Amino acid sequence: MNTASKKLAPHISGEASMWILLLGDMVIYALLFFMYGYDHRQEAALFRESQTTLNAGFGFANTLILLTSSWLVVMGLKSAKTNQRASAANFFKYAMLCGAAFGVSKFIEYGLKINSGIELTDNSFYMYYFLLTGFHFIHVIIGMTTLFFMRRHVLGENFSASSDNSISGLESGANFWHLVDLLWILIFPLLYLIG
Amino acid sequence: MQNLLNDKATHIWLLLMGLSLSSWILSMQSSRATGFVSIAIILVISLFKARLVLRNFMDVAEAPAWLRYSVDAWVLTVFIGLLAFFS
Repeated sequence: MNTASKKLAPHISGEASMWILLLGDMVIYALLFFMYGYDHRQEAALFRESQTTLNAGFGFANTLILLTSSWLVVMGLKSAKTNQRASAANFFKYAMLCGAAFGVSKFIEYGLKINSGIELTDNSFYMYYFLLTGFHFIHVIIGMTTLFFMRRHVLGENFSASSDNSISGLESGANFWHLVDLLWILIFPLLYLIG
Repeated sequence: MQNLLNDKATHIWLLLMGLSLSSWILSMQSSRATGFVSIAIILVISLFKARLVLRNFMDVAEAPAWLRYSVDAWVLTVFIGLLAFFS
């Protein structure tokens, strides 16, 4: 009976205040997606022509990188909860490396665009391209910093797998990283796949 | 290693990778997906992926009702909104 009750009891992952922040971010991005969709409809020919200059291969590679990083963070959190601190630290480190790989890929992609003479102010599509991916990249940097501190925390003296504070803090950090993945899951098809 | 392969999160991750690949392949029929059906399928796949991440990686499946409903409302709103703009 107790086991069944435990399974059914709702559990919020991380701090509730963090969820308010995440939901706020999701709403802001939804509005940006709608603005993009509206302008795409208004200037369909221009948007479609501009989209052909993007390489969907970069978008796809970045999708796989972020999905993998999210999975690594899930496994890291599971390890932390079972007090496998070294394993958790490794998972968080590999997730950070995925973030770094995403950054390198983004710099190469931006570099290619800028070298071919494309700028943010060229037209509405490129404004959205640089705005959506740029804001997202800021999230990646914040997320990588968060992963760094999560790794440091699981290896530190203050960490305890049985402490609600320790685990809740890690869950909040992990959820922020998943948000980075979540946003890219929608940015990728909007900019690269559909027109 | 065996534990990793048997973990539900690993199965979800593989599913997410496969769905991403299918979206990309679908869009490659022309250089971009422009038909309503292709766009609708890619949007369904993307929002389904988003929901998988929210429910399984962010543990929303076990969250209190207010969070589960908020997240589902967001997924549904984004889907309907984008489908309307791209139809």
